[in-house]
Amino acid sequence: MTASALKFSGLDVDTDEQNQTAVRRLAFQELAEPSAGTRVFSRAAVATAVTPRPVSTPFAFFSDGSSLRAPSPIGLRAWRAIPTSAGKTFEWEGLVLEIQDASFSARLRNIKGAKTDYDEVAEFDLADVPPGDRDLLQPGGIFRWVVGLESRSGTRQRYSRIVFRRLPAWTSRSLKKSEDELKALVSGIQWIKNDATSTG
Amino acid sequence: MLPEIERNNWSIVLIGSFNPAIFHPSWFLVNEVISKETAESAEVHVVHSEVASVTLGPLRLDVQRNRFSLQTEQSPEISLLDFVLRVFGDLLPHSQITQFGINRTVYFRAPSSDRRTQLGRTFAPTAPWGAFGERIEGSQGVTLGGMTNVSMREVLIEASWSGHCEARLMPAYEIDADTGIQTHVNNHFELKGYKEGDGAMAALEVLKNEFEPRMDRCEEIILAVLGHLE
Repeated sequence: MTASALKFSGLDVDTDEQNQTAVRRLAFQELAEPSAGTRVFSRAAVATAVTPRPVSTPFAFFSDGSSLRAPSPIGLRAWRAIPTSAGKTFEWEGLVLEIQDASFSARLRNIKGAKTDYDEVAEFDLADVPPGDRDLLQPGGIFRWVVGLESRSGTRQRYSRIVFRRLPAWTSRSLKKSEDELKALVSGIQWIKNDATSTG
Repeated sequence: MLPEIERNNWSIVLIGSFNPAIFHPSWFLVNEVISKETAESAEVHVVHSEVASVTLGPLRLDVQRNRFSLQTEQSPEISLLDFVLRVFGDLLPHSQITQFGINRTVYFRAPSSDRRTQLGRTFAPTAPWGAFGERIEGSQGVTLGGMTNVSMREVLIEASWSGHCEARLMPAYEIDADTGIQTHVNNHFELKGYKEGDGAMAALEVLKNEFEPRMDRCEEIILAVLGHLE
């Protein structure tokens, strides 16, 4: 089994929901088997959480689970789409959306490796969260999910690793301040009413 | 096909003034920098007023009075940044940090000994070295000579800091004597106009903003080197 097997299948579109819900299926052809801990894309989670059609990468997440998107696929934030060395590592940043009895759903943003430029939703087994990170597993929690191949003492092996981020409080404060400023800015915008009779 | 990277190492190195004696796993646990599980499995090599060296899960911490180094061989490397920002941003904001480095090292193998020699000749041609170079070019077997180390530096100057990005390429005998190769990239930052008492926050702001873009630059350089062996 070679690393070249690390490929995503294409876009999987429900025919009855065409143009409404494009469900991207992360099908690691050999890698993301159940041992990788990921029942990739529960339709139920996707149906409730995925946006009708992903348009671009979110560059800010808010505490209520919503996100701010850049106006185009080429976001305002530097886009880390550079393929990793030899293309063998994929990394996403996840935002925990909902926690069920044995699993949790999360919105994923590509960090490196994948070619997608929009966010996706996936479901993970709770058992895949390291015991030391369980206290960080809550809606709004942020983690990194890394999948790849590594060579240890000459032996190549696949890995799938979830690491919750222990973010410093001072950057959280900065984020909250920016969030508040942004919300204040948005609420202060005077929207011009669309005049349907205008010919201009 | 690009050669596979066999070993990775990422590190953040801070230069300033530190108190090594406090960097004990129990201190990190009490301040919620690490989990109880990580603290229980931590290895304390030494914690002393002059030097501290501990392993905290995948992170290796080495501290001297003027140098703080945190490294890992396991992705996601963002864990390094989170750890440093938490320790110095939340807990020790008055620590003096005047310079820092964001580093990455990779180890891989050339497809053959000849390909490694070719790579060396590409980055360090023998012709400009005159007769010395001619002898190296003609060497073979146990007397085979060539490039042992080459460095390239990009100078970086911004409003609040100056620094450089330096890449080094050399054989990696620890991987394989005939085919092993090591590439090391050091992104070095020095704060402009730092005054005693400025603390850690100025450096942390730059570190926070530069960490991921600089890691991308490391990747770009590594891919450029690997591309010669495709």
